[in-house]
Amino acid sequence: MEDKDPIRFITTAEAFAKAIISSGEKPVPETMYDQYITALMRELDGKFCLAYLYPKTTPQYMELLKRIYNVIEETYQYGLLCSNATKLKETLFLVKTLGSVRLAPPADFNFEEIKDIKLQ
Amino acid sequence: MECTKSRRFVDSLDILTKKMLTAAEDNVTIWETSLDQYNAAVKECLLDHEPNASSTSSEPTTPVEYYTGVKFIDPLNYSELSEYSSRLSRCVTDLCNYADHCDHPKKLRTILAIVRSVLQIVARMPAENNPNIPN
Repeated sequence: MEDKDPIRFITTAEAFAKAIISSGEKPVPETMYDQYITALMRELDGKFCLAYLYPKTTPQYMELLKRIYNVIEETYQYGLLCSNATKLKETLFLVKTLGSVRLAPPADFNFEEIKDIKLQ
Repeated sequence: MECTKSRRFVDSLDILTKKMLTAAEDNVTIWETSLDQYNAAVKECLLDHEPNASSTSSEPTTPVEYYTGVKFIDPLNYSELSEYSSRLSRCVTDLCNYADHCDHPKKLRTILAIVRSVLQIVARMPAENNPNIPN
C-alpha cells in the first residue's frame, strides 16, 4: 500500500482551495472536484472527521499547522463573500475537512522549540 | 447543577443548530436571534480565557492559541468532556449534512461561519484525574 504523506495532503488541499477561489462563482468542474476529494480522503484513510496526520518532525508539524490554518482562513474568507450555493458547499466541505484533521505530535515534538515562531 | 459558561456555550450551539435545521431556508428571523446568542456565548468563552484582562496585548500566551486562535471550554469532569465533545461534533455533522441540501446562500455562509468557529474550540482536560478514561 502506498504510504500516506501529510505534506501531499496539505498540497492537495491548497490546490483544491485555489481551484475553488480562482473559478469565481462557477463551481469547480465535477471531475476535478471528485479528484481532489479522492486525493484528500486517501491521505485521511477515508475519514471525513477526526482523521489523523503523522508529521515526522517538529518542523514538519509546524509547517502543516501553518498551512492548514492558512488554507482554512483563505477559504473561509472567500466563502463569506460568495453567493453561489454550490461554491459555498465546496468551501464548507474543505473547511470542515481541514478543521477536523488532527496532527499527531512527532517523536521529537517540543513545545519550547516552537514557542516563538510566528504564523505569518 | 450549576450552569457554567462552557455549558451555556454548548447549549447555545445546540439551540442554534436546531433552529438552523428546522427553519425554512429563507426565514432568517427564525434563527438570527439564536445566532446572536451563540455569538455572545463565543465571545464570552473567548474573553474568559484572555491571558491577562488588564493587558493591552492581544497576543495569546500558549503556542497552540498563538497559531490557531483556538478558544477553550472547560469541562468540570471527564463526563462533561465526553458530553461536550460529542455534542459539538454532532452539531458540526448535522449542520454540514443539512448544508448539502440547502441552497440558501446566507444560510450556507452562516453555517460556514459556525462550523469554522466550532472547529476552533478545544476542550481543556479537566483537573479530575480519572484512570478509567477510555482511549
